Amino acid sequence: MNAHTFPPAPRKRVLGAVVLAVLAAWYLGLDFTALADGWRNLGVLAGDAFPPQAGVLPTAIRGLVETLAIALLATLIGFVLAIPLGVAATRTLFPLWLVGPARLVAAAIRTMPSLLWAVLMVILVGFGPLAGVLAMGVYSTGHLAKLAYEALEGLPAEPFEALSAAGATRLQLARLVAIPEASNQLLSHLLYMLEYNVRASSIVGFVGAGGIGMYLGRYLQMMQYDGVVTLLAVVFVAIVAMDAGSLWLRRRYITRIPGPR
Amino acid sequence: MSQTAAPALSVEALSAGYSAGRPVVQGVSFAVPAGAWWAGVGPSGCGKTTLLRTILGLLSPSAGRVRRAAEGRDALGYIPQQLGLVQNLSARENVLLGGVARLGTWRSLRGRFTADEVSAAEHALEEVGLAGRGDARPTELSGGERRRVAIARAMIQRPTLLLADEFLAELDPITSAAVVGVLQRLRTETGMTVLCVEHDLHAAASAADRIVVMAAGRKLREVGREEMDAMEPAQLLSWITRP
Repeated sequence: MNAHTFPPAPRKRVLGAVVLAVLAAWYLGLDFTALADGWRNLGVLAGDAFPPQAGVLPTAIRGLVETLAIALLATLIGFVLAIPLGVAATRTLFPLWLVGPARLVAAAIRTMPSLLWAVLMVILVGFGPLAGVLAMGVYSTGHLAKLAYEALEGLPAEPFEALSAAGATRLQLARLVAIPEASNQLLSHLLYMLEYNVRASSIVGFVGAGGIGMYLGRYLQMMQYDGVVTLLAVVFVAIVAMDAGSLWLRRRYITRIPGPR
Repeated sequence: MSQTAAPALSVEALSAGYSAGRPVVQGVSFAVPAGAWWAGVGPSGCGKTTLLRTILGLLSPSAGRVRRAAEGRDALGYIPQQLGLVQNLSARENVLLGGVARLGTWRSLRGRFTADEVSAAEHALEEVGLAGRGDARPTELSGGERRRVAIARAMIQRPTLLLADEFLAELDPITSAAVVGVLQRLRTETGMTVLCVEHDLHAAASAADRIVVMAAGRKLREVGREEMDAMEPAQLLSWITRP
């Protein structure tokens, strides 16, 4: 009896991936010896960063609350706009003349990273949280719309066929069948986007779009790394708390993930 | 059940398939009188579901045609093999969806059903023996109960022609008889025509006035109620297993 690996190891594919990785590194001219110097620099930075500056804590918490508020608003705006856009982009529900433009809009939005949207919104409405909310909201719309139409297209065809025969219009199928049937997935996407937006809001703040990122940018510019570490620690605690909250919500409303016994 | 001469459904020399030049159904013809219950029977893969999907308009025929007497948005009812229930909606909400064609755009967008419509749905659930189970999701119901929800949905829709795919499959004899009884009552009340396809010959023969025996995409013969009653089950089965 021959030995059997389960699942069969795709050796050729692994080898192919390694060759591609080496080629990519060669093309970029990567010099990994630079890491040796980098470690020394990191040591200097760590010396400046520790101990963290406790006095920054009130600023950090204020920035964090602002970040959470930006992320929450942006996610909700994105979700509300993404559902109709995602539904319109669903091939199994609507004809190509509607699906094509809807997908184009969603793709165009996603083409620009959230940081560039933030720059654009800062130009449009000035520095502050409004720019962050608009930037993350627009970005979330494109991202959630794509996730929505992929979820809707993956639904089983039978309820649609049964109700289509019963005289349901495309709009009725979308509202009364597709959205309820995909609601768990859509809720899951919403939570994922909220998590993403909390992290991304910390970044878009660098360009003046509000939140804790704005303070991070300031402390980095002033090279007060002990303050930066305090801010990062607060972000870290917030993200761990969000992960726990998200897991609880998923367990409660989406899937029955078994909890610890 | 009185039957009028005019067919509710005519299938004329129908051929259909999923790829060009490879028909799954070939030259099938029959005419179902209004108010009758006919069943297409045959082994798995003989083209029953393809026939049904072509009648529904989900597949285009490569030859022949389908003529339905009934007109109107909600004249045609369809119960797919997996029943087509929305898993995230309650039994009551699934039943309400039977009346979707009567719902205007605005009410559809709001997902709003009137108190009368909800009462009618509750009554339909009672009729099929599911009183008090309106809040249950399909996943919380047994196979027989789910089929009854699909029937209750059809009761709200009141189609002129109901098509059902393997409706009685995987049901125990008692549940099968109960489900058939409910559907027979609906047919008596509304004069609805039923065409179902089944691989279970006995289930089909117990429900239908007439069966269309199919094999390898072709119609072999039609067998009427009287002929079925007079026939040994083994003989009927042999037509399907050894065409």
